[in-house]
Amino acid sequence: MNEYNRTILDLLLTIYEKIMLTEEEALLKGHFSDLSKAEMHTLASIGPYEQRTMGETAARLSITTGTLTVAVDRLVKKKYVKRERATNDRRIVLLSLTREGKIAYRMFWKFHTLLVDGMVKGLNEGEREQLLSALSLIDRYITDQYYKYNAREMQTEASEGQDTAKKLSRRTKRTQIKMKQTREKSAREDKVKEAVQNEQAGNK
Amino acid sequence: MSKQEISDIVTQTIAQAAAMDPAEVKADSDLIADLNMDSLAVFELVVDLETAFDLQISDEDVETLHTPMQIINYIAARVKLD
Repeated sequence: MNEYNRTILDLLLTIYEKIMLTEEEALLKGHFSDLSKAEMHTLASIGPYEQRTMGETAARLSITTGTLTVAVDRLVKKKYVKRERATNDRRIVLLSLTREGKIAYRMFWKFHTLLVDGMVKGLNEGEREQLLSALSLIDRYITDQYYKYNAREMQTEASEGQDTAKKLSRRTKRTQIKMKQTREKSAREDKVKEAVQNEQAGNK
Repeated sequence: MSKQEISDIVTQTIAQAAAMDPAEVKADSDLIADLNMDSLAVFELVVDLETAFDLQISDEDVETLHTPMQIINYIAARVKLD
């Protein structure tokens, strides 16, 4: 492996590891120290407004429903998650967040918002766009690799997971379009300002 | 729902999240600077308001809501008034 590739690999792995460790530390020192990182991710995959089935939630987390059942049992006991039967089909179990679960979810989301704000604070508009493009290319490649290796064992989960990947890709595109529009709007405003200034200078 | 009812529910919910008497909640008090609410209290308030008015309040909107009056106007604009 050449030095460039090794540095990229090291950086990606280190960043991933440090984000995970930072999450863990933030949880331990925050208001929700009784929640593990995995439990917080389970809350995030259920979401604050939805009722989700066990299968849907397990697919979003890329875990089996058996593993999820254990996690949900704990979260129900800690009063972060509600588990109820669907009224139209009693065989289906629906998960949703309790008031405490919703508050924890919002705090966790805020933590990530601040983390990303801090990460991109030092970058200018062009650098932000480049970072977004590079990361989405990397994400697309890694997603393809992941599903290539898992296709046989996890066909159902993979299709739901691929939906999530597609959603991420669409969101990335929307963000890129928004950034472009903001840039064009600001260029137009600059032109207008310049024209006004030139006109004022001409009048003088 | 009337604007007065919205105002009463918002004031009561803020008082509960800030652990204070509703009479102490003034329309232009700053949630953080004047009512000493931390981020946890703000999120408790947001979740309780979402439940009380059956609406969703995005984080971007939360960033723009600093006083009880701003919250009352925000909710009045989003729920059906009498």
